[in-house]
Parts: sequence; structure tokens; C-alpha cells
Amino acid sequence: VIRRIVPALLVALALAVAPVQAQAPTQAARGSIHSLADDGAPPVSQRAHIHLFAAYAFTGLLVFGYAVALVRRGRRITAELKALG
Amino acid sequence: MTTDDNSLAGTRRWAIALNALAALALTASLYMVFFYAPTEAEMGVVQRIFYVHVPSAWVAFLAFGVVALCSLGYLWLRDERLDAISVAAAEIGVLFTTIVLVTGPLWGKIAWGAWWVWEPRLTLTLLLWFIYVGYFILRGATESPERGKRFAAILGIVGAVDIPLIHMSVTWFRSQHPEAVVLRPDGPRAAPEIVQTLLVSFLAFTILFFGLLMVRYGLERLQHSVDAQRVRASLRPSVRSKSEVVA
Repeated sequence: VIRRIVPALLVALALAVAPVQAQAPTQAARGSIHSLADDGAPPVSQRAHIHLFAAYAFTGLLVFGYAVALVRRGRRITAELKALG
Repeated sequence: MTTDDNSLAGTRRWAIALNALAALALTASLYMVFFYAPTEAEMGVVQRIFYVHVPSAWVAFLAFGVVALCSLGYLWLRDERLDAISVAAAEIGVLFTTIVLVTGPLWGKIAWGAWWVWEPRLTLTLLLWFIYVGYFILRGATESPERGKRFAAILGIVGAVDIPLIHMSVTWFRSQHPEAVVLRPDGPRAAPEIVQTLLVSFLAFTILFFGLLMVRYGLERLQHSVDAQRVRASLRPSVRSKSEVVA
């Protein structure tokens, strides 16, 4: 039974997925860095500026937040050490 | 003052000096990124994410390299200081890998039109992040701390195998990720201003890594002292009660 059902299920699944796969946009169709140059339209837009700002803001906040967390942790451990004598 | 106190004071001095230097270098790097480096012709302004994305990846690799070396040393010598350096470097490595994994999609969405692509370099970098998050989970998952340290050290060494795979993935596999621009056998391919800005960013991030490593290492050693004091404090009453029983 397994020998008959499993291949039949796989074939049914492949037939169901095939038309969806054929219509799906591929990565190449979406455009790579090199194909953007061919279009002659560099994506210099408001969205690009927002992404740039978000990247630097995220990095700054993460590093600064980590540094602050380290300092706070240092104070807590030092206080603990003093309390223990 | 004990030798341990002296070494901790030395670590603290180094940490302050390195972090001050990192702040200066980062300021210079930010100035170069926004006022010196030209806007790249193909990708436009979003390409400036490059100056934070690539140095963050470099620092993550450096951090996990340090984890692997110190873990190897710890397994061999059982020196607690090497384990402390490994923990410190792993934490900073996870921090910078997170930056890579967030800034990459922010760049990719504009350049490729997709936030994420399951291609080799991105997938292997995500795997690296999971490995070193697992490093911390593994440390805390065992009943015996010594066993946890040993297991984590093994994972720290095995996980480092992913680093050359990530670096070479754009050459070995069909990849959408751009190839190396500066570290190429035939020399840098980008404009001199771009290369100079990238090198200053590399320097700033490297100094920042060592500054943060010193702070985190000092904290790990302090925490070790607190734990040792706690153990001594918990043993004291039982020793007294035993002597009372004998008396």
C-alpha cells in the first residue's frame, strides 16, 4: 500500500506546485545589483535614505545599549562584591 | 592588593583607553562615510550601509576566531581566564552578527528588491548566529558549570568552521551576494576613497571590539570573584558549626 500511495501523493503534490512555481517571480527576475545598473535608474530614493538611516541608527543603538548594559552590570557586580566584603 | 586585583585594574585601564580611541576612530569613520566617500554609481546612497555591514562582519569573524582559539586553550590548559575571554568574545560576536543580519536586509531590500534570499552566504551567516546563541544556551544547560564550559568550548571550536565557509561561499557556490571588493587577490576593485573609508571603518570597529572585549572580560573576572566569595561565605557557617560540635 505504501509503495502505491507515497509515489501517487508525491506526483499529486508536484502537479499542484508546478503552476505556482512557474508563475512565481525568481530572484533574477527581481533584479540583482548588476541588473539595476543596466536599468540606468539607481535606487536613490527616500526609501533608500530611510534604510540607510535605519541601518546606522540600529547599529548605534545596539552598540551604545550594549556598552550601557556593561557599565550597569559592572556597577551591580562591584556593589555585590563590596557587600560580600 | 592581590595579583588578580592588579590584573583587573590593568584590564580596566586598557578598556578605558581602547574605548576612548574607538570613539575617536568611529567619529572619523562616520565623517568619512557621509562627507568623504563618494556615492556609489550603481546602488546610490544605500551603498553606504557597506561601511557598517562589512566591518561588523569582520568583527564577528574576529570574535568567533578568538572564541575558537581561547576555547582550544581552555580545553587544553583549563585556565579560567581563557574561558572568560571566550565568553566575552562570543557575546560581542553575537552582537556584531546581529548587526550584519539586520543591516544586510536593509541594504538588500533596496539593492535586490528582497529583504532576505536563501543563498549560501546569508544562510551560513544566520547559521553562525544560531551556533553562538547556542553557545550560551549550552553553557547554562548543564548541571555542572565545568561541564557546560567544556561543551561550550567544543561548540566554539566547531562553530568557527563556518567562518571560512561564509568567506568563500561567494566563490564556491552560485551566490547573489556581491564578491569581495577590497580583500581580493588582484587588489581592491573600488574607488580609492571607498577603500580608504572602509579601512578606517575596519580600524574603528576593530578597536571597538578590543575595547568591549576588555570591559566584558573584566566583568567576567569580577563575576568569578563574586561567585568565589559567595561559596566562601556559604561555607563559613558550616565550618563554624562543625567546630562547635567538636568543642
